[in-house]
Amino acid sequence: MTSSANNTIKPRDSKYNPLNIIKRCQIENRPVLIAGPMVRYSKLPFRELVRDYNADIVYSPMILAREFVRNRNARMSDFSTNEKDKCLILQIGSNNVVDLMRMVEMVRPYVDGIGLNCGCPIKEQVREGIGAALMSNKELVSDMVRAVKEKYGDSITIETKIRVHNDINETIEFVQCVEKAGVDFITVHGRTKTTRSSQPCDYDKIKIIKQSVNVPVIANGDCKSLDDAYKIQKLTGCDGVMAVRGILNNPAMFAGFKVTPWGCVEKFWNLSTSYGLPFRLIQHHLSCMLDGLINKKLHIELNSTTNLIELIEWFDFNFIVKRPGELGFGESVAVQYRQHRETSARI
Amino acid sequence: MSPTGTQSCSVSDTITELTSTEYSDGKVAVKKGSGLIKIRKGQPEEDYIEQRDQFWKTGPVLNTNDWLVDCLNDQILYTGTNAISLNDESDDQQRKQNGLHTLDKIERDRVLKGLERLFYLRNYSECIKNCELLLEGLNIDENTNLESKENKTLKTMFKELNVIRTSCMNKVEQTTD
Repeated sequence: MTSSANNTIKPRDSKYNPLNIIKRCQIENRPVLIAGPMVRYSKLPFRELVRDYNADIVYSPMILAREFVRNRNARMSDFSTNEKDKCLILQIGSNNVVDLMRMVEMVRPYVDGIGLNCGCPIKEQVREGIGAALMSNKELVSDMVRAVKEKYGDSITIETKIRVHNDINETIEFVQCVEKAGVDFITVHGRTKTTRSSQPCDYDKIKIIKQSVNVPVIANGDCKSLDDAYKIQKLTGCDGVMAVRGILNNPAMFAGFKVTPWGCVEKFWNLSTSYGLPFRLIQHHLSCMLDGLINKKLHIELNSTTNLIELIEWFDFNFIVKRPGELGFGESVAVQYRQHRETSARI
Repeated sequence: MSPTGTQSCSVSDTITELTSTEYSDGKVAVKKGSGLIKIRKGQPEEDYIEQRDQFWKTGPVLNTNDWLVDCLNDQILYTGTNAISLNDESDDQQRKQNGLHTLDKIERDRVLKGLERLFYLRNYSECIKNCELLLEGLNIDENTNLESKENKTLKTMFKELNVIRTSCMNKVEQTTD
């Protein structure tokens, strides 16, 4: 092979290697704080936002290796990055060694780690043998991990994100098999692939998995605040905690905010219009962030807007949304309602 | 193992042993919802090398703070009466000169997002100017049938540019009132 990756961004700094971050957090005696992968939602603007609020490691959404290695348009729409996008773990959905190896070869210069998705319960992906389907194929997962580590060794960090089985012994076998293949760390969601999110996460099972392997283990499930992160670490003994739904609702949670501060909404507006996100994604992010913070009527209005211009105008009509460069941009905590003379008049 | 993978697929497994490394092109067999086995084609090595080299040549899409507005400005350079003279009549430049509706979806979206960024930044006069240049570049006249099937993209672009332009003009009017 004579080709090499174009040097459009600088080589990765080992400071952002996920394993080094895990070690650093161990020294600081605190959990590694991780923003997990969300289909559609963990795009660049959101990644930068959560880093601004203390996320140590941030995942991309799951990207399908099969599409990525075959289709330029898929690459262009699925993966964008920049100099500030670190520590970044790119999560890959794959059902075979070849696609995975090819994708790893392509993206390795642009990421700090690779995550192999073995936990996604979406039916369409499971049918394709991707995500949670891999939980019943530990040999294949081991083959995939081994192939990556044999070729790239320590130059790339590989993680697997799994769910627990009904029978925890199956999960123990799974993680030990994958550890033997060379995985660098494991993230465990404390639900099975069929457990509903309304059911509580099983931290006892995560604790058992942590005790079954020597590689670092990250606990995932029901982390909705910084306090939760510390509690979950204490309950499971894990090295770190991954938030997914919680951080979608409150991207500032790892900085100790109980609910989304208004400044976070302002920063999101700036990042999403600067880097570009589809309108429906921006609307959904804002809807999640403001859930419970604004009244139902306003929330319905927000969700009823039909294009980005309308959404910007709606925000500017109802709230004070500061732009970059304006005094106090990104600093407010409480929702900044705009006072309208006609509604506040006492007649 | 059967090359089609039909013998080795159990009810609990959604993919078969075809996924093992002995197949060097990523060919796999997957189980459809109906229970039928479907073979997903592999990717020949030479196709992969071509894709990989293309990706490495450009790298991933890099999003800087101003990249969308830069995309917009780049398009404006080639649009309507504002068009710069083209020394190199490459397909890419020619398409750009022909107007927003002739670009592919990804490029069109970037230009529109560049306008939305200007609107967000309250740079209304710049946004109006760009909308007008882009509208001019659509080359719509009294003979253009926007309802015809082949003009679907043209109609969408015309509508979207007008929405942004009108919103900007309303904002300017409100400020001057």
